[in-house]
Amino acid sequence: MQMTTPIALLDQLPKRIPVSQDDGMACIAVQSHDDVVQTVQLANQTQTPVSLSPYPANLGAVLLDFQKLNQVIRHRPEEFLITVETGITLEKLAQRLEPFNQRFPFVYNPSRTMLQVLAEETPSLAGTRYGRLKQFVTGIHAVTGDGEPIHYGGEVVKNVTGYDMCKLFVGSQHRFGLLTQVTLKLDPVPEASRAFLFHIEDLQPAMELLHKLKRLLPHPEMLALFRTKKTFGWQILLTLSGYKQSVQIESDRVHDATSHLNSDLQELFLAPKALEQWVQRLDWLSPEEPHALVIQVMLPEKVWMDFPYRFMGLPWMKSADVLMPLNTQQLMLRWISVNIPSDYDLLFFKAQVEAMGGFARIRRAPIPSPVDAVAFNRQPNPVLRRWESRLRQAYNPNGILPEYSPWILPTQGGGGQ
Amino acid sequence: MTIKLSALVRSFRQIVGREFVHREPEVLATYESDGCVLMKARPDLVVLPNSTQEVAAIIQVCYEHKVPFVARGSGTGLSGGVLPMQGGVFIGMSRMNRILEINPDNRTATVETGVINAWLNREARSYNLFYAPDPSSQAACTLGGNIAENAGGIHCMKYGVTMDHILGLEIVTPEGDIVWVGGEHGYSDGTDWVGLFVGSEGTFGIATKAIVRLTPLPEKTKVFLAAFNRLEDSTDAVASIIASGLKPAALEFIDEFTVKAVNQAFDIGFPETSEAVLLVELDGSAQTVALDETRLLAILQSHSVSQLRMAEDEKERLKLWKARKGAVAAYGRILPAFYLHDCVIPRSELTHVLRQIQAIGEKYNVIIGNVFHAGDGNLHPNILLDPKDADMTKRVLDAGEEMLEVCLSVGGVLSGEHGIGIEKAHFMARQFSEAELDVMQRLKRVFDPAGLSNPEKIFPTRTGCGEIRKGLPEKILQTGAGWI
Repeated sequence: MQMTTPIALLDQLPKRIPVSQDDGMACIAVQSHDDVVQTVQLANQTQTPVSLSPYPANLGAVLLDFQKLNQVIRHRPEEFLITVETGITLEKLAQRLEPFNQRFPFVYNPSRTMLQVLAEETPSLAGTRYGRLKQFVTGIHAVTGDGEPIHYGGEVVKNVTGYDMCKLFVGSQHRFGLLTQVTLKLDPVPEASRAFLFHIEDLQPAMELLHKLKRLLPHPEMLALFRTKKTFGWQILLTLSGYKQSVQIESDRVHDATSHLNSDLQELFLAPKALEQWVQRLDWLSPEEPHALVIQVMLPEKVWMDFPYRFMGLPWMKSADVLMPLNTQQLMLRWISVNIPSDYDLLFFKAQVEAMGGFARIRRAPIPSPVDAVAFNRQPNPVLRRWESRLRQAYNPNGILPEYSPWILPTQGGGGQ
Repeated sequence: MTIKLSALVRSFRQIVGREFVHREPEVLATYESDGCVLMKARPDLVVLPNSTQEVAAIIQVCYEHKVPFVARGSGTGLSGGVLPMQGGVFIGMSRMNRILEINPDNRTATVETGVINAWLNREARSYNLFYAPDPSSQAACTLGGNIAENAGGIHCMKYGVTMDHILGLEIVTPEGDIVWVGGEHGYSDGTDWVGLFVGSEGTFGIATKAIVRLTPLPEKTKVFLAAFNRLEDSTDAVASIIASGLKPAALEFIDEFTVKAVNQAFDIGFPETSEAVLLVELDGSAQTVALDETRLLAILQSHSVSQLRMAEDEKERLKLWKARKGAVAAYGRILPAFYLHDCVIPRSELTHVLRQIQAIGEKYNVIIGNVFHAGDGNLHPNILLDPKDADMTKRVLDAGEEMLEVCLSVGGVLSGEHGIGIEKAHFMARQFSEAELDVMQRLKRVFDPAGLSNPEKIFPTRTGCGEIRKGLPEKILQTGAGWI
């Protein structure tokens, strides 16, 4: 699209919608679904690109700020469902649910908004038990890139009426539309929970223990292997939750199965809230987490379990923080500042992952890195590339919404070029 | 069509062999209906491929000559989803019925989509695993059909619907390409192609292979039968179970009429003096089931349960579920056909809506049996009919329409697991605005710009003035003696 200045849009914007300046960019603080509809429609009329705060903006774009679009529309505790505006933070959502002894079970940095986690469908450590985030979304209100409002699903837990538009908008990184409201399934706060942390120096015994715990426990809430620069060697985080008696029995099984191991087992005797805060630090995709480069890899489980043996010996892997939550089949690699792998290393790595039946994508921010993210993240399959192109044409025909996300960065300046 | 039928036959015979292409009227007649017996439409040709490459070759011919096609599994669908509305080619998937791999370590299976749901379960159980979606037709329905409709079943309350168990798909696109989406990891890179494809009712192409998630068999399972003298007590008990946070593996409702029908058919011994029966299954570790049981029984007692029975052993448990799954067949002893709805409502509205359904039955003087997935709020009012009785058939259709209005009025949706197909397409405008329908239909054009894959499904067809057609499609009424 031809870039314009946002003046025409701002002139026509209703006065009730506040506009501020953010680093010289116009920032529109939308406060309702209708505000978003109106703004995106005006953006289409005036050919003004729109970006979402705090994501990178196109040249000449206006920023949409969802911070004030943060209300609980309806909570139906008896149905374990809540409808919220997507600017709500996870912290505010948790506060709202606490008196009802309910929770949204996926754990992220609490300052994140629903919009951020839904747009990326950020995997959570709790995916070990709860699966994918989008399985907890029963309804959406959204605005397509050409300004068409849409409502799909609602306060029902099962629905095959027409095409599942939730699947299009959740996880697609704002490329086809903006989510403004979502209805989410909730879960009761468990009667009891316990967490264990195993410190193991070498990778091989750590992986063996991970296998063992996987076989031992059918449904742990979280089971993840990780290594950070701040810690020595490898760590396994295990959390159990449910009835007091069940958790006690499972804890005893864990103790019995690991007592002979040469590992340092630490039980995290933390109150549930403190435990949650401890786990939230492992949300590496949070904008607040420092990173120069993050690679997210999805792999078949059989390969996932072999993966560390094949790759952790590579020199450039030694400087990476590693996070592997079980059963989400993902592997997160993070470089905070130094020893970032070269383009050659990354492209070789990507090819290996694809040969193993998985895929990898990178995000570099906020520190620039030499890696060409667009080339790295480009869809390799021609049929899927064709479908992607048609989706953009169908839902973002004027290119108003960014055609990139934190995962799909442009090489220079303007998006979609 | 821009090609003669005989030329198509020649092309397809070259692809799959002479014996797997059919145009004989007596063969075509066997494909003219699915489980929704109210409607029928006949294809011009039936082709039975044996591999993904053959499916792709067939579709390439269709694409080249702009011939519509419809894939068909076992034809157990309940929304007319496989009716060939524009004629064309039926692609029968029954020969593609191989279980290619069961990987117990990964808890996955790779299958061709003509595999029968129950076959996969039988194989998986030998590894102490199961495939969770279990529609009532699981002894006959194919996984491809389940994928097309995003089928549910009795145990999807706890374990989720088909979508939650599909990790990857091999798809033949409506343009004849073969592509894999998702994979054993269950994620798509960027756009959730698997999530979009599952439940698209065959309108985005044909899934030829699937990687499915298998679930470990629970350590302990218990089924309870709870009878209530008043319908309100049973539905209030359902609402209380949900509100308590308990997650039964299954929570099913059977009304008095259906109880009697099932007893006559299966001699199951359901209590006949009650207005409603709930079947509740708990599963998990022995400890968890014991604790869940204590809470469940307290809830049932607080809602004046009149009789409570527990399946003593696996044999009795299976007998109860067989009776539940056979309920619809039991109606056949009373009248020869039924019209089955599938709307979903908030569970707290069950009492209100069921009473409304009863009142509608009385208003139109029709027999309604209710047997449904109460835990999901997924109603299945079965309106019995004799299709030879035109007056009764009209009353059945009118009653069904009024029921759907009631469901929509409480925030419900048209379908929970059967899909929209052709049968409910004309109701879509009641749930969605014209603009919303348009936004949805753009997806169809992404996958199938030529509109060849299972055309005229899901969305209401427009007449000349942009008006959305009301009532079941006239085309079906006019051709092939649409009504049985």
